[in-house]
Amino acid sequence: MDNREVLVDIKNLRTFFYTEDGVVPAVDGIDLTIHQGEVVGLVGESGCGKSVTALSIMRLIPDPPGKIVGGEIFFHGEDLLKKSNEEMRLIRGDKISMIFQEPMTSLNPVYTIGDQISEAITLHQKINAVEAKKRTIEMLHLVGIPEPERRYSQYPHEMSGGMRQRVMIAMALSCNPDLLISDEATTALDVTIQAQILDLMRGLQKKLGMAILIITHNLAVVAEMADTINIAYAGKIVESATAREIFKSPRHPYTYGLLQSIPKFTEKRTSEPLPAIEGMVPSPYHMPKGCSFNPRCPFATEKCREEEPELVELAPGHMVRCFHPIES
Amino acid sequence: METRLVEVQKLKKFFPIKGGVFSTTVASVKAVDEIDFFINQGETLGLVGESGSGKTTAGRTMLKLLQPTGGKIIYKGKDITKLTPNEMRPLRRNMQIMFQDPYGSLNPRMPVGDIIQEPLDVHAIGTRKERRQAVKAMMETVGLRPEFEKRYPHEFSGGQRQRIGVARALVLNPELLVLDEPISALDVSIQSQIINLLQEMQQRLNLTYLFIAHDLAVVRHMSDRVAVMYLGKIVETAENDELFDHPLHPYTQALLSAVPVPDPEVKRERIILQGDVPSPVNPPSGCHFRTRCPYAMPICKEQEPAMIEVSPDHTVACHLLTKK
Ligand SMILES: Nc1ncnc2c1ncn2[C@@H]1O[C@H](COP(=O)(O)OP(=O)(O)OP(=O)(O)O)[C@@H](O)[C@H]1O
Ligand SMILES: Nc1ncnc2c1ncn2[C@@H]1O[C@H](COP(=O)(O)OP(=O)(O)O)[C@@H](O)[C@H]1O
Ligand code: SF4
Ligand code: SF4
Ligand SMILES: [Mg+2]
Ligand SMILES: [Mg+2]
Repeated sequence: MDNREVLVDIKNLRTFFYTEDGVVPAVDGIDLTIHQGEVVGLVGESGCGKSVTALSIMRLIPDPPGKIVGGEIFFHGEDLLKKSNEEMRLIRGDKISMIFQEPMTSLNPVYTIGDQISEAITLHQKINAVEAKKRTIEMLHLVGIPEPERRYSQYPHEMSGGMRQRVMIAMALSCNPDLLISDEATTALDVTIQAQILDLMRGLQKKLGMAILIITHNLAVVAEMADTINIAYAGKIVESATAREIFKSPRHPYTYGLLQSIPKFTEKRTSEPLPAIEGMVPSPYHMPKGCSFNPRCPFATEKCREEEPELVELAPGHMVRCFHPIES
Repeated sequence: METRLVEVQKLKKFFPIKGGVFSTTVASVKAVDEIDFFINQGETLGLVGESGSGKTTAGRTMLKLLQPTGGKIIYKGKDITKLTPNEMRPLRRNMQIMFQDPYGSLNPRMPVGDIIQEPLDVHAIGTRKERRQAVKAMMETVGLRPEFEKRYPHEFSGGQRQRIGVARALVLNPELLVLDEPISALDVSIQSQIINLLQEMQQRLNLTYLFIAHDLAVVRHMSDRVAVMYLGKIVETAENDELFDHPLHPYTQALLSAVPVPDPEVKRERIILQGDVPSPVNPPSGCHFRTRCPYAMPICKEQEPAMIEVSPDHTVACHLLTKK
């Protein structure tokens, strides 16, 4: 169905945290494929393992307490989990870069934004300071920052949230990565600013052709941005398909429930209650036996409470982890 | 006929900015700058706008938790603007507020039963035993198990903590409730549970809500009427479907068009606004929106547009509509 070359292929990734209170299986069965130039969404609720997946790809899991305990992460056909720290350092910020929800935590408050981007460039490219500055100004211009020469010497706190996010994008794209990971990059922004940033990301993706992994809890954002969507629940991918398929015929009860429960902005008001998913996300210390969604699932059977379902391909390109998938 | 429970007229709240050696007022944040709205008994008014537009300040000033800088607050036909805290006391129990943050707003050292009971204690309502009974009944109503009354907030999930917040706000049986972003901090699958709870409570207890939120889909689901704020001003107010289907103010149009929709097959025309929201310390002259408005004209700089009623219960402040 997709004949573009595979860029990232994550197979049964498992990343655990060994805390005082016990083992947290933060990521416990993430399978994810990203083709070159593809926009892929990773969606799920707080704590389901989205950021840990991203940090695993970047090999930035704090160890201790964290450890990647299983699986493979192929990037351009090579397993990143087999790379040395030095090799990873060269890949990060060059071939793979990442932007975060709160740019203030990833920008250094004591350096000008121009110096920070220039430094990122010279770390990976053999160019001199003058060229790096020129490239930085080009990047600031590319991400729609007005008066880039003047902005070059401003500090992060002198900018609005939307501007800082643009700076982060400029820095992340300055080395022309093959993969950009965006972890809740627009979540903290107002809708009109979010629309600006999403519009910018879409435009840059078309222009530069990099693949993007968009991590968010917002289904509407991935509906607008992603070609393919992966739904995560309690550390596992439970469903993955094209955006169209996910929204048109969700097969996993969790995906289905989630889509039913969100109010529709485009529909007239009704006084009916929303079809909510009962209960809550399980604690990572007390994962239920069998399917981790079973305590909340209206279709759960005895089998669901005993055995763990595998991720299976129900239709071409449509993967579902469920014993009793919803009919399409 | 509908009865007005609360109304604000030209409501104003400025926060002074102190500076200089003598700590004098050097400027002010014009958080709420002469706004008008009303809420009828039993209905929900949605208040939307970007962060910093003045929604929280408007809600708190309406309840007189902040003393207004100017304008009037009329509650059940009575002007309460100038009432002293003592004179406000008997009214207080009828007006409650619930906050966004289910973590920060509950005292971590108090068992939840006491947290919910506190407003009853403050207003000295009933006997000790009656208060406890009211607390247990309220816990049951909002879907918390009464036997959890001795547990502390950290032992509950975000959604449960928000239920505790609802129970505490409702235990005095108020008439008016300000809901300040009550679901923003919750997980997606929990949000709909709390939305349903708030709607059920409203129907059961005939509550009146001021519902502050930035998620426009949720506002559409919850509200009877909606008011849109931009930089301290209300720019448009209308009945729910009217506002969402026929927005007239250029800012409302841009705001609605910016909302992503959870359907990849819907491709919407998007108005991408340029630039950021200006500072409320020095808002632009004339129309506050003019620096980002795609239709700005010379008059927009010189004159503030008046609020005009374009059809019954649909008011807009924009020169485009007065020119004709
Ligand atoms: N450094 C850490 N030490 C211990 N546990 C951790 C650590 N980092 C993450 N976890 C746990 O791993 C699980 C997954 O966390 P992760 O940050 O990936 O969630 P997420 O899906 O990104 O959620 P959110 O939407 O809130 O960002 C959670 O249970 C979290 O508490
Ligand atoms: N106590 C305060 N002192 C000074 N400025 C304030 C105070 N509270 C709010 N503000 C300012 O008033 C404006 C409106 O704030 P707020 O009502 O919280 O907006 P919203 O709820 O719409 O995000 C903002 O610029 C904010 O920084
Ligand atoms: S495996 Fe069973 S419990 Fe899990 S989602 Fe499917 S039907 Fe529900
Ligand atoms: S008054 Fe002028 S600037 Fe303001 S919204 Fe209308 S057209 Fe735009
Ligand atoms: Mg995260
Ligand atoms: Mg607020």
